[in-house]
Amino acid sequence: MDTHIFVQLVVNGLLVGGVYGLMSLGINLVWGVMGVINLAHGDLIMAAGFLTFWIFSRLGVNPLLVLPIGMAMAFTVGVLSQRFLLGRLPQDRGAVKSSLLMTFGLSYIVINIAQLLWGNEFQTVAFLAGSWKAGGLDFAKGRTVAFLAAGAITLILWAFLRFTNAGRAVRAVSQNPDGASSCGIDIARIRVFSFGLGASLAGAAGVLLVMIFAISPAMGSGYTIRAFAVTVIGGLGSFPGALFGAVILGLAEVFAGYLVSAQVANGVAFILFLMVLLALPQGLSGLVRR
Amino acid sequence: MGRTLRFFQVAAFLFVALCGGLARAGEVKPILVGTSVSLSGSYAASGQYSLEGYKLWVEQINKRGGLLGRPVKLIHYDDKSDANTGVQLYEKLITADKVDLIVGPYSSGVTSAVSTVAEKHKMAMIGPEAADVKIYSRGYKYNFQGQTQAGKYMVGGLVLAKASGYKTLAMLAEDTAFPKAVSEEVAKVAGTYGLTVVFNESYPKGASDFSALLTKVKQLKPDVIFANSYLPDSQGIMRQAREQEVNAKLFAVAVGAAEPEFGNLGNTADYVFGATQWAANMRTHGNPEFVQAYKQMFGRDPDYHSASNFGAMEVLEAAVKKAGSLDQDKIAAAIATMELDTVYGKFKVDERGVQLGYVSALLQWQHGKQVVVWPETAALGKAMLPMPPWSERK
Repeated sequence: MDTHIFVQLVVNGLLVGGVYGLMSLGINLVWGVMGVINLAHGDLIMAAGFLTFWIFSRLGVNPLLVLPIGMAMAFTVGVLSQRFLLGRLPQDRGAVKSSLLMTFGLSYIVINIAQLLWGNEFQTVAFLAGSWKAGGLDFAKGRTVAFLAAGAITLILWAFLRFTNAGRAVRAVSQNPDGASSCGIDIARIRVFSFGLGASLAGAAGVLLVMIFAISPAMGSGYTIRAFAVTVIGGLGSFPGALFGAVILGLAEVFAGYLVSAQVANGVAFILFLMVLLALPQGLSGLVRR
Repeated sequence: MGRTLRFFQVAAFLFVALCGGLARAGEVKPILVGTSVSLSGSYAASGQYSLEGYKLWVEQINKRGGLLGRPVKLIHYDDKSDANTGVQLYEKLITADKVDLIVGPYSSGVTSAVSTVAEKHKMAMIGPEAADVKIYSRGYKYNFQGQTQAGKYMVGGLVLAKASGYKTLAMLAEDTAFPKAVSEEVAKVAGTYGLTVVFNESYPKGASDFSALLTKVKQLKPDVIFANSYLPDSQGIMRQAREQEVNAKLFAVAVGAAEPEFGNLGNTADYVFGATQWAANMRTHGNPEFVQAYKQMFGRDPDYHSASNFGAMEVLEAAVKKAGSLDQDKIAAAIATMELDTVYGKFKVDERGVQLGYVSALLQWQHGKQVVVWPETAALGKAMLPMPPWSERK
């Protein structure tokens, strides 16, 4: 493989990896704070994607401007489902299973609402076609903008969790709920907020995704699995680990597609997932901690 | 007493029977034509178009005085886009409703299942929505293909490539039955059009990132690229080809470009060719009248499904007239040897029942509109070739 192609593939992998990172941050946050694996995560990505498509095709609004709307919509769905559904589950030993079932059901509700509202077709937006040239490389416009936006949102989230009281409370609940509770943190409220926050990250990812790929109501589960795989690869609860895992997945998909076949590229998330579970149960961030 | 009652019973019976007979004598029993069409489920939209094609013919034949001097009545059920339901419905049509003639359902999948019922009951059936040739490779005697063969979809692209002297061809296909069949057929005949296949790979159903495949294609610098794909993958491939600056002089897709939604790509859709089976402006037999009557009856434009189903009825009509009766063996024999110009093109099948006459056409997106550019007899405009490099496009 000549160097130019190699670098081009790296660029393509990195750009997609950025969006995978954003997707996985939401699932990582909800899992870390609440011990809930949100199976509707990918469907919220899809719903925000369709919302963007709909606003863009009807009103011609720049998808980037839809970003706050998509995030707000997903945030609302997240808050409502935690407040009225997940939050009502008894917090006993079966909580993980019943929350899995509940988010599974939620996933179907979101898919069917999307089918009712927007039909069963694949959709795409004619926004940012083509690429920018730099150093002889093609930077696909849609992918580059999505990557930059994903990076900015990730930074803001990091700063929020690090420097604000609300962010500290979220992290405290994630690390030690009992300790956080004894410090006067309202755990139920933090859980509602965290689920909303995680969902809003899915919303952001959906708005950015529609700039890159075609979307359809049934596509959500594929992205839930990718986000889940990235979280496992990078290590649960680890911010840098999740981003690293996302970049690894993006690169692995692109290189598998180029060197082997598109079929293998499609399954590479599962292959990495299994390899990491077998060799590094703590994820890649476990390597750093050791 | 018993005998008197008996007399009245017999008299009453005779009276009723006589009245019935008198009433019948005034009207002729209609010829029943049976079909199932997908009116719900995933094929519902196209199924509705195909049913309207049948309905228009029934309306017209009755205006012309019917078939064999008898009025025609269509009995149709909804098979819910499901092959098993289709089988049950055709059994019901033939055994319970005792229809005189049957015509095929929507899609290759349902037709494949239903063809066994037609064969079992020795009922002649034209399948106007079955592109899959395998249905007609089972030695059946009563089934006939009324749709263009899947393998013909890209012939227009091949002809244009040859005329322009292009030499190399790269193909991408979804790895499911129809797109793979298209790739196989094109690979077989590419040489006769002066083309060397330099790339022939597939991708899984549901794939959305084609950038790695396209990077490979880009290095080969092919003159021609065929994406044997449906709508979403056609869109993804075109969009990413532009992003990766994958240039070709001729870019064609198998299915996607025939759908209006392909235009969601904006000007990235321009110059892209796509297969289509029929168009309102094609100079097939009776086409303008068909389009006009259809619009009048249903208040919308026909699509190619409407035309292929209408065409199937034209063939059936001619076959029944030639047979001079509703004898299924005679009708089947008539269809088997028939050459008829229909709105959908020239109907002609080989000894297996595989469609030989119907041809695919080629359209090109030009300035945001679909324009039929091949064959010349149907062309509304000239093909714009070669496709300019992406770097020169705004």
